[in-house]
Amino acid sequence: MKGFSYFLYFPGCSSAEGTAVGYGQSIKEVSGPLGLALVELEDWNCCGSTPYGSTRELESLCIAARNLALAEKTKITVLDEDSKPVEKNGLDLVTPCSSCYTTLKRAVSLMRDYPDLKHKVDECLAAAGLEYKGKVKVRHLFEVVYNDVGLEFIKSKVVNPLNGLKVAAYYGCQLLRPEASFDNPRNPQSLGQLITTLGGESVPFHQKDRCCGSSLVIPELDLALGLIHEILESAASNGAQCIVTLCPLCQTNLDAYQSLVNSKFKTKYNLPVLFFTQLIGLAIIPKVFPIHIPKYPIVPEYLGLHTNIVSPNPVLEHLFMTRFYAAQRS
Amino acid sequence: MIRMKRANGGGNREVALKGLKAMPEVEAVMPVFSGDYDVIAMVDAPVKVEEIAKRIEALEWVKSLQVLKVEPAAPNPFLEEVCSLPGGECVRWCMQCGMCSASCPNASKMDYSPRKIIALIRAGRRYDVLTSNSMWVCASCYLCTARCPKDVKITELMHSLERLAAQHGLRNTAVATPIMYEAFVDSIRGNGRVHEVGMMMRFYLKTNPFAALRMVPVASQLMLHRRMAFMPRRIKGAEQIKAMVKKAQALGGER
Amino acid sequence: MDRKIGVYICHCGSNIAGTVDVGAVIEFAKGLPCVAVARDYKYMCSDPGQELIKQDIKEMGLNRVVVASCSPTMHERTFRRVCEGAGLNPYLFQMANIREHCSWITEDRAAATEKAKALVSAAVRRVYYQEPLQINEVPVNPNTLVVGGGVAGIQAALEIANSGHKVYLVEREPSIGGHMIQLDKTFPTLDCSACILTPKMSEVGSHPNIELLSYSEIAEVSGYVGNFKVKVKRKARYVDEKKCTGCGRCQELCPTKVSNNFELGLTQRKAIYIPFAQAVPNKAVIDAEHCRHLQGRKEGKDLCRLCQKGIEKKGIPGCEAGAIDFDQVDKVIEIEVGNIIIATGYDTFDPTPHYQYGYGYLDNVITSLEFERMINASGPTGGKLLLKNGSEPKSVAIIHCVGSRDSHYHEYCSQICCMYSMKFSHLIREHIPGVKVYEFYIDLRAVGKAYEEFYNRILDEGTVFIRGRPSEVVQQNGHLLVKAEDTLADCERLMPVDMVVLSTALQPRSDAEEIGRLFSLSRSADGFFLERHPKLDPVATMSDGIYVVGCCQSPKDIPHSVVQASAAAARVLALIGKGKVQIEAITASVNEELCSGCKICSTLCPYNAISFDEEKMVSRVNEALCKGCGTCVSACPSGAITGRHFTTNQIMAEIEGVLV
Repeated sequence: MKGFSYFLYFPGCSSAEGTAVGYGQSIKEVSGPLGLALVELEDWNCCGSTPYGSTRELESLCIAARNLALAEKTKITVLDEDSKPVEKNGLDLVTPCSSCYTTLKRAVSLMRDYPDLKHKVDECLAAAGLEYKGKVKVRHLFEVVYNDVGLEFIKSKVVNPLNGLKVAAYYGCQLLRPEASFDNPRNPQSLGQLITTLGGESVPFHQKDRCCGSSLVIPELDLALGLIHEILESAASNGAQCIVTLCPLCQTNLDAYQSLVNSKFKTKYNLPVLFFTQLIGLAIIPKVFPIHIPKYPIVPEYLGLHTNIVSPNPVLEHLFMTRFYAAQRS
Repeated sequence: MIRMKRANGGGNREVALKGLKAMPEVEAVMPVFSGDYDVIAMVDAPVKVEEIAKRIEALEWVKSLQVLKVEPAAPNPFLEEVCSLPGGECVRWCMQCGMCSASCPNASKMDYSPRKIIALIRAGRRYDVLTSNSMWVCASCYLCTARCPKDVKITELMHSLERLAAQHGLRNTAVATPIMYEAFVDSIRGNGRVHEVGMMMRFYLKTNPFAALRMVPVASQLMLHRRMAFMPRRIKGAEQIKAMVKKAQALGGER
Repeated sequence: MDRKIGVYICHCGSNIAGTVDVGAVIEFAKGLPCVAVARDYKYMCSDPGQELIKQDIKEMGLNRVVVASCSPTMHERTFRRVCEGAGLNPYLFQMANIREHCSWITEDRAAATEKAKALVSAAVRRVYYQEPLQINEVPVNPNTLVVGGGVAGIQAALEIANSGHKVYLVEREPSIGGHMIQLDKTFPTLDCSACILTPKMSEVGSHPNIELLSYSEIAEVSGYVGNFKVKVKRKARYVDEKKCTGCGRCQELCPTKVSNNFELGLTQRKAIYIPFAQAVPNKAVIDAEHCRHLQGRKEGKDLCRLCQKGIEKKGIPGCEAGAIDFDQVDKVIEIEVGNIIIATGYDTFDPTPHYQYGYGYLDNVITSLEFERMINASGPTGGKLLLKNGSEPKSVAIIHCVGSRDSHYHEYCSQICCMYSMKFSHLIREHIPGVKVYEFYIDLRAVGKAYEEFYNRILDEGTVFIRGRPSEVVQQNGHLLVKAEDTLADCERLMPVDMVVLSTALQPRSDAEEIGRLFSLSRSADGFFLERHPKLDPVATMSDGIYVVGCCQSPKDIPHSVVQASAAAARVLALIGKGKVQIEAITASVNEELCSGCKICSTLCPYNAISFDEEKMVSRVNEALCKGCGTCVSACPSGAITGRHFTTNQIMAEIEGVLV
């Protein structure tokens, strides 16, 4: 893959400055090495997600459509191979959040299939001085990494292989449902393949595409804790050393609420929950880790790892200490 | 169906009809101009019809009342309403196999399982469906939609029912989810972004502040790990959001 | 020229008259050139309607007839016969479709009437140029080809053979019997399947009028009704059928083990094998792909041949009949038949993609056909229903509609699964006393004779029916858990069982597309072969002389397959009895004086109906093969080919009639 692939980037509220800032940071750090030029959509607004769509239909579509309208009219200027300025437009809109992905995709297809509805949305957009012609393609960052960047390329970039780290690949619900644009929605393999490519071991994980509770964790805490518990149990009982996710809500639920699960169900889970970009970053960024001391207490502030609540230390140790110990022995 | 006769001197017919229409379980009220009875009330919560009849009987203008367990002869207005929503016509395709309910991770917490909700819609049970907590407990995991052998879009249906419940003024009051959703929406309307901390605070204040105590360990960890944005961010195009919201509301808000 | 055209407008009850102003069309028609009479009637196709036409032809001396009514697909044949009956050549008739093309597609009366007038005008102008055509007859070959030796194919073959006519029965596998011979017992009588089928199989094998071509495939089909030429590839068995006695010594000696397809991979067979104990023909066959000798021969080696040589050291002889013949080759023979009956059967749905049910990665989840083989006394477990660990299950769940009634796989209902699922619960109970059986269903379809009574019997035996389609099967603590919503009791059911049987759908054969192409068969949306009319003609196809019977046309139970086979046999015998068949006169013909010999037409003809006369250097149309599609007519650069009944004059006149 030569040069960069350009995409418009829609971080979503969580990844931008909310509970998933670590995700946002890790994306910034790995996109360059992966050959992805993610240009943040200017002045984007919240997609609306489930809450808006559940309370107001037309308004929620407008909220989502504003982003689509902005994406459609965005033109960027880049330098090509001969350093000549080239204008690019019509770029795909990429988001790392499964909920934003589903919400924006839903807006695109509703407006495409119901012209009367599109007409009303157009009127509302016009009131804000915007228009949307229906030409934006919405994609999930993980799918872009899997299809556009490709596992072959990633493999060639691996400098710190994961040393057989046992990872539970957690897809969550909304990447492949209700419609899967890639992979097998009944038995997904793509994230597992990424883990293997990075040198890890993808453990069998029955709950890999089951619900974490998402935003219900706030109004229905016990219900959500039950769902989170099942996911953690499934991962742990299959020997996983950590879980990797591709959605900020999933990560927050599995990570930040792990302590509540432990107190409610009297369990002792201690599973680090990483974003897939964090895992990729650990494997492909040639950073020399200053870990010569076992049980290094402070987690370095790169790839957003310092934001992970269940400490990712065990993962870091596995990655770097195994080599250190091996070097020591020889 | 409940039919009743007004007492002599028991207020004019208009007052009686108004009083009946104000009862949320009553779907339709019809004056009768011949025969023994004056007013017919159609109740779409047949399970509770006896209880509703007692409440009506207590009204001073009712002289006599008769309960008939007959279904309304007119076509099912609630089913028609659901089917008229874009994507709602799939309710007709359901074969009641129960795959959705068996797949739903939260079905045990629902008043009515997803399959049963569809059956109730088809039976015209507007009140029971819209006052249930079922849709508010839906986590939008889409397992039902992915597995349904007849391509019924159950998750979309659940969200449509949430909106319909609000429209008909029949929202379930035992669940806190609608309040969280409203807090979320307010945040976007004001700033164009969701300010998570602000939204959660507003939510706990409106529902149960003491429930927030349970979240303290989570909140403190999030704060320590720099995942809490205390200041709300406002987008530059916040005025655009306001203009769109205003226009959407003027257009009726619904499809 | 002296044309006398009669125009007849049908009301078709209110189908036409409800939208089209028939009176106005009649008046309009009277004004058209050469129209001698214009009448209307309520139902032109009825007896009095037909009489009307006949009378006018006789009394008024009409020499052209136009009927404006429904689609020609419905009644062109009817009205042509009417003309013929009155002494008028049937090709001097034209139909105007003012129903499907007019009154049924709009509610606008004015527009419909205008269009009806235009269509009638077109028909009148066209019929003016139509010429009488000769209808030819060809003799019908009394031999019949039956493709597929399952119960339907066997039935059809026997019916025809018993009437004294010859049948070629071509079967792909080394033995006939299809899927029915794999079954254990059949519902609702619980007859042993092999016991009722083997007598018929045996009859087929020894019938003087049936030539059984087993282990053979169809290579090429050409011709037309009454006169088909079929090339059959007889695959090499490497065993001389005339010498083989079916003793089975060879398969005992063979050292190579291969997965046994007949037993669905549950056990193995040898490279040389007799398909099963009751095989017809009961002869051995060598699986060339796995035979060590035949594979070694490719590299010039002479390996094994134990079946032929035996084990000399131990004094065990090889094939004593000397039937093994490694020099055999595939042979192609050509047969000529008058009719073809397709009875190629079905495949079963592979539930592997239906990931939630665990087939393929969970132990003790099996399909219905695997169950049939296991419970069958002559099957891989000797009739015992066994778990992977060798013990018998104490509880079994049977899940209905796997792959059927599902937008992700097959939308249709496979018709027999409810019945066979109930049969399974009976058989399980018979083999394992005290076992618990649960049936997870959506709707119970027990529609045939004695089927509902069978359901009552199963209920009485204690099978638990749960109405709810399971969402998944998971493994926990050595049990399989089936999760479903009990829709009738309105609660969740999480049922621990030892074994799960998936009642899988019936689906079209994987090579249905190829078979379809060979025989010019269309397929319906569900993938099965398309019949001529779903209600009134479910055995014939759009190709005259070719019939589809059994499950290759749609999923069905054994009685219906047998009935359909007998029906097709009756149709075939009717044609054979008549002895000749009429050839459609609408064909192309080459004007040899104008033909330049460029051969463009013969390369384009989709029916291979055009041949080239090397001496005269002109092309010639074989009118028996020609279907009158018109491709050659439009392609000919010299304009030398005429499409009868679709001449330039006729077509231009029709267009004028619509436009003017």
